[in-house]
Amino acid sequence: MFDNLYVVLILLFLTIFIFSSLPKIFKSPYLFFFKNIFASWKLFDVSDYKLIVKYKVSNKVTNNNEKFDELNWTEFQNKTSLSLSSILFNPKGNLMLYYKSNLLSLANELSEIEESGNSESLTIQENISYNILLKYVQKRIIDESKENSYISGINSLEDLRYVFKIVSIDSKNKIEEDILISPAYNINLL
Amino acid sequence: MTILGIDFYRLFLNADINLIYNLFINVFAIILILQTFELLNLSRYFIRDDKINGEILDEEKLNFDTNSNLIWDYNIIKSQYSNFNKSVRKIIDFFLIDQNFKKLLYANVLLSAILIVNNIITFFPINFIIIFLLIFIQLLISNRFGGSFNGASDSMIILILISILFFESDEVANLFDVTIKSNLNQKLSFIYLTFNVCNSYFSAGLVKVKEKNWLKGLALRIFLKESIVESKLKNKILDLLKIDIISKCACIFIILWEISIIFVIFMPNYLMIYLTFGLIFHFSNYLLFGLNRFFLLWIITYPILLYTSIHYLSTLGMCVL
Repeated sequence: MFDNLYVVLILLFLTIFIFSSLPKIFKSPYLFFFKNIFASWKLFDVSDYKLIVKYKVSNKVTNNNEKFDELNWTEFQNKTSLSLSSILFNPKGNLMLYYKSNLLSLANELSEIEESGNSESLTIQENISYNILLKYVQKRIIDESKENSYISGINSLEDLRYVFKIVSIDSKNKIEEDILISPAYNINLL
Repeated sequence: MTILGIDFYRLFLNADINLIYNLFINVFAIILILQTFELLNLSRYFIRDDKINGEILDEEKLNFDTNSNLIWDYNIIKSQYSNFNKSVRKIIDFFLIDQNFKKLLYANVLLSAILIVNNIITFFPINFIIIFLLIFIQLLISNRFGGSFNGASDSMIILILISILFFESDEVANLFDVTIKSNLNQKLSFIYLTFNVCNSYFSAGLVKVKEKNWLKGLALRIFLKESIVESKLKNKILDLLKIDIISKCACIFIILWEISIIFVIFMPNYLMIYLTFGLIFHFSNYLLFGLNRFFLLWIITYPILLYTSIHYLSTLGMCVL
């Protein structure tokens, strides 16, 4: 039955090609689980906009009214240098790459929510990518407050409140546009 | 075709398929172990730990010491399974929840190690089951990170495992006393992997053709500016890419290089030149963008591509041409 190798292969490849070209299929929850079997290689699409995250931290103790307006935005830095061994073992680099792809997914999901205008769709605070970014920003603030007490008079992490925003920068004209500004959050370790 | 004094065409023409396969599977298993250790190294970012140094911590210390690092909290991720029925959700929760997920990663290391030992001394003669379990674990791992922790390399790991599964399928055929004609499983395995690697290059090239930034030669500059890597080399290349003609040529060359795979795969002599550029391309991606997984997983498939091209596809290419 399977004597003709090429018939089998053509059928197999057609199946892979059809599945990988129909990403909508993976909206089904069970097929979503297997989506990596039918890989999409549509990588390296590039936009004219660079996405960055900025944040502000306020200290409840020294800043009673939590006047975020008076504080400057700090840019979320995401750079690393490579060592000889990182070609085999590069956890720090891969963590940063994940942060970047999470930020891109969030930006795509934001534009999808905006385009659909569907009031029943998830609010951004329920979005997975948003919540992961929130945790990233929180971790950065905790690390910085541990390393350099840049916020004076800090008693505990619970004294800190923060906001963050996603900024899109036009690569040609260097014009910055805020595409999302978060509400103010307390440090939440639960 | 001779590169560095080695006649690769003759080498792969006379090579034993089992030798190529065994070398490939061993290197792949080592890479799989390294990549799982990468995840274990990052585990404080996605696993809630109730013990540090074997000591159960009080609630306040526990929250500070462990949860301050937590980013991919399973409590966030699991909302993507909210449409699944309750029993399926329970099974997924069982495998992906904090400490169980860590055990799953250790199982991944153990199974990969058994795969290597098996290829040397046939310690546990059921590779088929090991590969099947590894595919299951990889699907769980990629879903634990929402499918986007190194999306492309996660997919490549699974595709390589499926191709190995084809290769080992004669074990199952033997169980049912079925003989697979003319090593069909081995051919299928190599051609399946070759097709997927070619598809990865071709699809990526096709996307770039539709992107105006790639055609105008701006894309590489934009990508490089956004790279996570800080190095002198990156800055020098960025300076070089500020010259429009160089930037445009580099972008067009990458597009042509990627798309041409669907022709070159049928011509082994040209394929060797193609893969030499591939080696430079992937290594540059590592140096400039930090994509070590993209380098390792694609490069190890090159011997399979060469073998498949010489033994199964070159005659087909002659017919087409």
